[in-house]
Amino acid sequence: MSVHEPEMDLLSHFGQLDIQNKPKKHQFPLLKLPKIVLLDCIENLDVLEIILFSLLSKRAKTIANLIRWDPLDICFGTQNIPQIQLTSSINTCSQWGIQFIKEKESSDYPIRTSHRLFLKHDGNMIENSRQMTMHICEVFRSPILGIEIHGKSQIEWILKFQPKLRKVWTSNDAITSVETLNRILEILKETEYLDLGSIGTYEEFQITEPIPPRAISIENSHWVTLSSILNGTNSVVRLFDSKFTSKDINIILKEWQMGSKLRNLEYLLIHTITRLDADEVYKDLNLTVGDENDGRPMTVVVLLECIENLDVFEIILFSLLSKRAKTIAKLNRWNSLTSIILCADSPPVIHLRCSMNPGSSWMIYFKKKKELPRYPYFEIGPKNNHCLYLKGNGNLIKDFKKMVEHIYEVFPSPIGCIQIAEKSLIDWIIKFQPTIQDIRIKKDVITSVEKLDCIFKNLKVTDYLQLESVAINKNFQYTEPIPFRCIEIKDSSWLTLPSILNGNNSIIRLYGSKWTSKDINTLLKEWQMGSKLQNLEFMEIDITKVVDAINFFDESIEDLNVTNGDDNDGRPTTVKIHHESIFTIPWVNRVRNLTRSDGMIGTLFARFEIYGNEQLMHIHIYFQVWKKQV
Amino acid sequence: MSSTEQGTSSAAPAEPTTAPESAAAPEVPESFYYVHGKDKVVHKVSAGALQHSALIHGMISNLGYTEEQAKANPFPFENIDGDILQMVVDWCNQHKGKPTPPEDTNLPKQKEKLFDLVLAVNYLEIKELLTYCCKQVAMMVKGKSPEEIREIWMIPTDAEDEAAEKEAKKRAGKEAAGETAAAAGDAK
Repeated sequence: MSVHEPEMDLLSHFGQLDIQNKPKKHQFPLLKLPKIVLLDCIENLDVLEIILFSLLSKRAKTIANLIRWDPLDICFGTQNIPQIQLTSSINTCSQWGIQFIKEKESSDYPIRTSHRLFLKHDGNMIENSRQMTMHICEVFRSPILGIEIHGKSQIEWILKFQPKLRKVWTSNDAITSVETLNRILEILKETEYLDLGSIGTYEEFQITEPIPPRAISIENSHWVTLSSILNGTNSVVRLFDSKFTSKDINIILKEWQMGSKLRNLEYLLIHTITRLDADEVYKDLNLTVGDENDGRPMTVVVLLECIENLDVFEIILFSLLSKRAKTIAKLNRWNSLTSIILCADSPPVIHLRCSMNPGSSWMIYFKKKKELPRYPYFEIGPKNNHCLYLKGNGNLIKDFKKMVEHIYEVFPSPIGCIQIAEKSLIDWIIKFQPTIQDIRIKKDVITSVEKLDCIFKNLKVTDYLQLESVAINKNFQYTEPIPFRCIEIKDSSWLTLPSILNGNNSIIRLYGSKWTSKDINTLLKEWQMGSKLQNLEFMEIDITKVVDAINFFDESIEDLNVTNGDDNDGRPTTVKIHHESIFTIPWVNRVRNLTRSDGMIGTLFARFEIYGNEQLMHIHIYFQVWKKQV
Repeated sequence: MSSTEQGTSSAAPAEPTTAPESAAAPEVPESFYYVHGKDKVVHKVSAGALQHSALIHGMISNLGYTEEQAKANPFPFENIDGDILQMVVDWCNQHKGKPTPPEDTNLPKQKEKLFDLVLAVNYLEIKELLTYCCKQVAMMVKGKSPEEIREIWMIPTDAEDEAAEKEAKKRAGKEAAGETAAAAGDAK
């Protein structure tokens, strides 16, 4: 894994500590543990400990990155002293802070209390904090939730690193030019909340364009004009030191009452520097007198607290009621869906999981009209599966995509897994979420080499790809590496040896392969030399129509220095195929071991099956990479 | 989405069947099995205690040994030190048929023993004990500085990792060159 240059600086600054010569008393060789056990150990650390661990080395960072940790809300503030605020998205009471402070204040950095970490900076606090923020985002696979903008360089940095943000705020006089202000407004397309301190531009400056975020709070807002507010779609507007006149406010109220403008408005606060005339403010408005007992909500937040008590399906149904309901539902802090799993089969199913309630799942099914007595139809199935049946409008896949996009917007949770049985979904997922943990593509969905290439080049699969047979010309061959950790390919006759040899896969499972014994032999030799397939953990190749399986196996190990293995040599009995599958290695009488120079052992064995009546055989070749632990 | 295991693999355990409440199970005498580690010291352990180990449980479930047969055929775990196997056996005995508590205070405090214990427990597939051990490993670095974490967990620096990688490549290259030369010699 490559670490960027600036990050290397951070690592070296943080302390690539030279301790190798210290006495080895009371030590525990953590990295020698099997990977699954190692991760189980690390998962017991708290957020700050994981961060400290991930900074120890590139290898430690790679390990920390594999942890199944709940997403974090990351906020990056720079007022007076830069600090990073981390909040568990599951339990908002769990918060941690990271702060860079001046070098000379203490020599014992990092200092940590139970929930705060103080780090020494190297003279550039802002840059150190940015690098640390990027590091944390990468380790915890979480985006930045909110950021304080203090100047142009911060804008350019965040635009490059993460152009979509939920919260943006600035301190007073942090913005000193119209150009900087305009650049901030450019990055606010998807922002929910903007809190703008006073800006240091020239007095006459005015803005007439709408300010995009849902909620805006602006200090010294003399530059915000009536048309900017009237043409906007804001729900919460708070303007301080405004130059609005009584007439301006009267226009706002009239436009709202007519219903043509400010349709999303929930709350408006205008603090003016001019004296207002009540008669002019209320002129020509049809007013009645309200009292305290008319049921008016006392706060805007009360509504959100009610929403947060709803169940996953209830929030989804509520968010579908209107645009305004969706906007409110989006503000819920109930963003704890651990993953969205999509079975884009026929009929398609959306499967939601939530870390607050790990034993339950929520399934959304799309049904053709008249299949059920009414829609939406609820049901609680076995194993606490909550089912919601929705009526499709003819094109179930289209309905399915729309609903996924909607859920993704309401609960900002990533799609963890998608099973694709329809061609159009490939382009859709590449566009909608190009990084995905697990993708499974059904039989004959891929009909061209271009489409196959498009998947491998444009989609980043972080864990597992399963590909069923492709409907491409039989003579087609693929020679490029498939850049995913685990690949499982059915009817893989098109996949060539160079594709695997030049790749970096950890788990390879090929069925219906046409590889020869010479191919297997080459692969084993390359693995043993250590120059290729360095990350290989497990390989299973199923080769069909072999005339003499025993001879095939013998040819596969020709010229290799193999030894016979036994049952008690400590070889693991299982292998983790992907995030939710552990494979039990089949037991056989005899295995052959190859040893690589770094001590890794590759255990090879095969199983045979007679193939039809043609006296041909299937041969399953297994190759398991492991290290002697005891 | 379910896993895609096939053929001989058994990723998902079978659903447990529940006996009807009224059917009282007849009293069956407890069966014992024997295990030994690297030191060849044989430990007698009840089948109930061994149920904690998925590996051993899988091995014995279909054997149907008599007491004599079990005694004559102890399970050899040559990759586990005798004292570690003793710890594992003791733990299995202590927790036989009992719900496992959230914390376990009986685990070894010495780090070198804990490492061997983690490996043994992982090999023997004792899930609850492995969970305790992993917590214990994490506890080692509670409140420690990065220098201390690096030292306790023996995390090499990037420079050390790179040097080790270079060394491995160099060695592999030399060995490959040696093999090629030997093969050329044989051909002559």
